[in-house]
Amino acid sequence: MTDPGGARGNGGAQPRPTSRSGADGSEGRTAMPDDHVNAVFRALADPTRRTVLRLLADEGAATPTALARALPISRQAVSKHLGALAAAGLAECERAGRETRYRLNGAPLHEAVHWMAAIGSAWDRRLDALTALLDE
Amino acid sequence: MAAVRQTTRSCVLPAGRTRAWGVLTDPATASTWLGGTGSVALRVPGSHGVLTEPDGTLRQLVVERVEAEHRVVLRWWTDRGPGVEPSIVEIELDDARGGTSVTVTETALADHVATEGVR
Repeated sequence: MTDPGGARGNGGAQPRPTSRSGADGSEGRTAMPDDHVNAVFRALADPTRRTVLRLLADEGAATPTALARALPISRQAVSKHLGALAAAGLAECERAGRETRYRLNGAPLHEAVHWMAAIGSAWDRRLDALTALLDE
Repeated sequence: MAAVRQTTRSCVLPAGRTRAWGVLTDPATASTWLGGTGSVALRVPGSHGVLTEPDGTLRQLVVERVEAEHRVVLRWWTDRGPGVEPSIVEIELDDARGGTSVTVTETALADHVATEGVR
């Protein structure tokens, strides 16, 4: 997950793009351990897993069987992807009769988006300051 | 999609490359634009600097690589907040219409090592 940010204005000749992520910028968040953060991004790197997350967000919760009906892959493949998402903390499971139901856990995504928003905003301020120094 | 925590910003600075590099790396101005007080020697590979940011956050940095008037690479980290995990910062200058383009890419160190190999 990268935030390309983009080009900023040049003395007003171009509008400044609003390319920041939508995190709320709240202070006092605890940094996730490295292994956990890396697991989140590895989980998100796969397009099928991103689709699974979207389906979970849309449905609230779903079983592997239900998800497989919406995807061009087998139930076993869905279960494998759900396992990777659960290992990264992006999905939580609960028993539903004889099957397991999964729900989305958005907290790890919020942390990642917060990182990019905070770092990106800081660089916007630094480049503003550098530009101002050169304008003097 | 690359699974990397990375943020990039760029703009065109209103100065030629020599002057832009000078202000960017001059110890007298570097800490100002980086947003803190302290001493940083961005032209000296291996140098260690410390900045105190307005909210009291301490930021430490090590200059990893310098290519005069073109690129400086830092490794830095803070004592609190989202920067507590070390990052690699690459600042690149290039000639551009109207001045000098500066592109900054900050990558979480754990993700940088994963993609670039151990350095």
